[in-house]
Order: sequence, then structure tokens, then C-alpha cells
Amino acid sequence: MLDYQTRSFLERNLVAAMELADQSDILELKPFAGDPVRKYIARFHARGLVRDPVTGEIGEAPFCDVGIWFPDDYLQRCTPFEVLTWLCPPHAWHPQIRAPFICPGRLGEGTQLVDILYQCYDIWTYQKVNWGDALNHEAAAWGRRCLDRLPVDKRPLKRRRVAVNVRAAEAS
Amino acid sequence: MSDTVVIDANAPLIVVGCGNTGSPFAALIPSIPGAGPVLFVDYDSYEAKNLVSQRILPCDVGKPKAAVQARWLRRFGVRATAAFVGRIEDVPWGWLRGGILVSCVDSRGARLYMNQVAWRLGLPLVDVAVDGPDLLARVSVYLSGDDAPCLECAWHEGHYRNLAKEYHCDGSTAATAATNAPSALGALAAGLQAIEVSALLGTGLKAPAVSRQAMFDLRNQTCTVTRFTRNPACRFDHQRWDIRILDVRPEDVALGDVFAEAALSREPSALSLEHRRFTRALTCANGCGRIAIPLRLADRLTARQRLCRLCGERNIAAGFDLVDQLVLTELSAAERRRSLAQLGLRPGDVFTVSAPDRSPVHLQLACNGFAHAPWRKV
Repeated sequence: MLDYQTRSFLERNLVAAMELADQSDILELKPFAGDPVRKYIARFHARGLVRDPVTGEIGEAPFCDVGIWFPDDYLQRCTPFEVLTWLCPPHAWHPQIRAPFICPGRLGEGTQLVDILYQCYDIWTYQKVNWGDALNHEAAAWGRRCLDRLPVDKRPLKRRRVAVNVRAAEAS
Repeated sequence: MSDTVVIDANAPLIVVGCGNTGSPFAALIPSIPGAGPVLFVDYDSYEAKNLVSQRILPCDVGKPKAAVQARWLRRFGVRATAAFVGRIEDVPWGWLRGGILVSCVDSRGARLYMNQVAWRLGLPLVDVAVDGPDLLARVSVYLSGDDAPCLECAWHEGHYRNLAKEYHCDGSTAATAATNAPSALGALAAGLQAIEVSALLGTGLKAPAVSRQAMFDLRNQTCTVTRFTRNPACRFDHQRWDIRILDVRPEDVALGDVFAEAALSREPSALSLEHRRFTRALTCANGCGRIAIPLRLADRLTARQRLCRLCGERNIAAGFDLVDQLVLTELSAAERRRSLAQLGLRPGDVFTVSAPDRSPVHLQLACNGFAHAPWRKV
């Protein structure tokens, strides 16, 4: 049973997040069926790090998937482990990620979906790292040694659209 | 409205928090005429540093706060005094019905929870707060009603932002900052609270100050009274529940039968417990992997489920493994046959069965109240 406030919050969030996805060539947002939508899978087409579970080698992955769920009482209480689920790649290599958990640090009650998407993107691309308080201590230690490799992807999530008219140059 | 408040004489007092305000309030309970049974709720134990700011003895250090205050009150012959060593969120709602909620906590989250429970069950909420550095003490009384304000009505975005706990990546949360209030300030707040409780019981010198807040600024020696009004943009839905008692033990009723009991066996009806989630899978916080478990409340796991069998680390239900309602059509036959106890429900729990276009039905599992409250967390 969703009250009016939560319902309108979720509806507004869907519109704002889909708008962001439209304006981004990096974000692909899949809302789950529901009225209003409470579950999403966000795919970020951006580079992040993964560790090969067999060889232990650190490599790059071209995208990641994060699950986002808004419980009934999201406007009043919020636990990051409940709201966010790391789906893919399972061996993501980041101090704040240990699948299926992702730790954004501070996630307030009623945080907008758009803000959550920005936070997840910043984490995956290493634009945001909390070295001191890590879920994956090995990744934190590795990252501190390899700061020159970071951030892995420097592109902003939303980029300005530039209208470019391409015409064939006239032969002179 | 305040003149028409009628609370049962001998209504139980539920005192939540036994620290700077709660411990002096406990001392005033024997002098409140008509005060009924008392339940103290606090998950914490006294520390040596509390000796200067809370009403305790050196021998109380290291003991659970709720148990210390309950034991102390029993010496004064206050009947049916009990202690619940745990969080207010863990107390079955059936224990609270018909009582007066006395909030002596310093956590906004607990205060928010109490506001919602008080509203759902139609309980009066007497809330106090102190600010040590600024020498402020305030008391407010809330009572559910058609246009009455709730505690959240006066909250704005900043309150919710501050409510956001700092989550450490190991899953722990930062502790609530201590109020650092002198004992005299706590005693003042407790005195104000005792007067309001007395007024609610109809034995005081005045009418209760419902929907009002009296703030005492001791640094400047001023008192400010604020009248609250219902905020149409409040995040809380202000629904008061009409709760029916289901006179069964949770062991004796199957999940599928509950829908029939609520006369909502039509599909797709759903069962939920406010602020609680169900899960079918747990993941080791240490990365050992994910295990499937039979359907259960995520915060009422069995002792075996709580810890990883491989490394002994905590098992946590990840977000996509949680649901906040059980939809009848999505339950397997085996899950429909599971008893409510197997789902983690306890006597006194209140749950809701809802269906589209129908009024939700709120049911409470029968319980004996808190007369038999355990001294340890259940």
C-alpha cells in the first residue's frame, strides 16, 4: 500500500531518471513493471575494474549493472544495502563494492534516483572512492598503490548535446 | 482538542530510552497518580561516564539500562514493571496497544518510528528532547486525529538529511551522538514529561498540551510555546489503523489461511508488516556466497541463518533478494503452507493484508502484553 507522497515521489523519479538516461550515452535504465515503478536495473556503459577470480589479474570491464529498489517506506528509512544491489560484473574490483553489496557511504531517506545513479557511476569509474572505509580492503590497498590508473573512466555521466551538421566539403 | 483527550486510567506507560531523560523520569513514575504498568525499552547498558549525567548508582554500571530502571521501580511497588532489552523497533505492537508512549530517546530514527507506531495504534506520544550545549529542553504531545499534526509534520528536508545514518562499509552504522546534557537538564525534561503524562491520565493539574511544544531555553531563561498544525506535504500518511485481533498462535496458522481469514483470498492480495521485509536468500558479508533459505522476515532470521556457515561472518539479504510484501499469486504451495512462526512472526505482531481496490485489513496476533516481557532481548 503506497501512500500519495511515496507514489508521487516514485513517479517524479521515473520521469527524471528516464530523462537523464535519454541525455546520456553511458546510462541505460530499465524500469521493472509496476505502478508506480519501484525497481530498476541501471547499466553504465563505462569502464571499471574487475579482478579475474582465477589469475587474480586486474583488468577492465566495459559496463556494469546495478539494481535499485525503493521499498514502501523509502521516504522515512533507508538502508543502502537494501536499496542498491550490485548485479554485474560479479568480480568488480573497487573498495566500495563486493557483489551483491555496494556501499555508497551516505544515502539519505528519500534520496532521488538521479542522485543514486550519479553516485553509482562515480563509484564504478573510480571517480569517487572512500579509501579509509572499505568493503573490499584488498581493492582499497591495491588502489592506493595504483593511483596513476585512476579514475578508470573520466567521462561525465551526462554530456552536453552538440548539434553538429556534417556536410560534404565542396571541392575547390 | 486537548480538553477532550480521554486516556484509560492505568494505561501502560511505555518508556523508551533510559538515559539522561528516561532515568529521572523513572524516578517520577511512582508519584504519577494512576500510572499503570510500565515497560522500559532500551538496548544499551550503563557506562561509568553515565554516572554524572544519569540517575544511576555505581553498581548499575555494565547492566542493561531497561532492567536497572525496572528493578528500581519495583521497589516502589509499581505493579507489572517490565524491561525489554532491545530496540523499540523489536517490540511487538501488541505490547504497546492502549498505552502511552513516552519518548526519551536521542535518536531521530527511533523518534520517527515511535511517531508512526503511535499514530497507527492511536497512542498518545509524549516526546522530550534536550540540547546540552545550548541548555534547551522541550516537551511535545501528539495524539492522532483527523486534522491533528504528527511529529513528522514539522520536519523538513534538513531533518531527513540529518536522519541519514553514516553507513560504514562493514555494514555497521555510526552511533548516535551523545547529547552531553547535564543531569539537571535531563531532570527538567523528565519533570515536564511527567506533568504531561499525568495530564493525559486525567490526574494532573492541567489539560495535556496536545499538538503543542513547550521549549525552555535556560541560557536565556525564556520559554517558547509552538502550536503545530497538520502539514499537507508531510511524508507520513497519517493513517490510523483499525486492528483486529487474530486469536491464534503464530505456530498454528498457515500463511495461506491468513488471506482467507482477512476475507481477501482473492488474487492478487498481499501480506506485509510495516517496516519489515521478507527474503528468500542471504549473502555472506565476507563474500563466501549466496544461499537460498525458506521464506522469512529478513530481520528475524534463525540463529543458524544469521551467520555464514563457512566463515562465521554475518549473512545479509541483498536488496534484490528482499520484498516488502508477499503477493499471494507469487507464493508457492509450500510457502502458503508455512506457519506465521516459520516466517518469523511473533505473538503481538501486527500485519496487513491488502488487495487492489479494497480497504486493507490489519490483524494482530494475540499476545499477553508485556507482563511476561523478557529481561533479555527476544
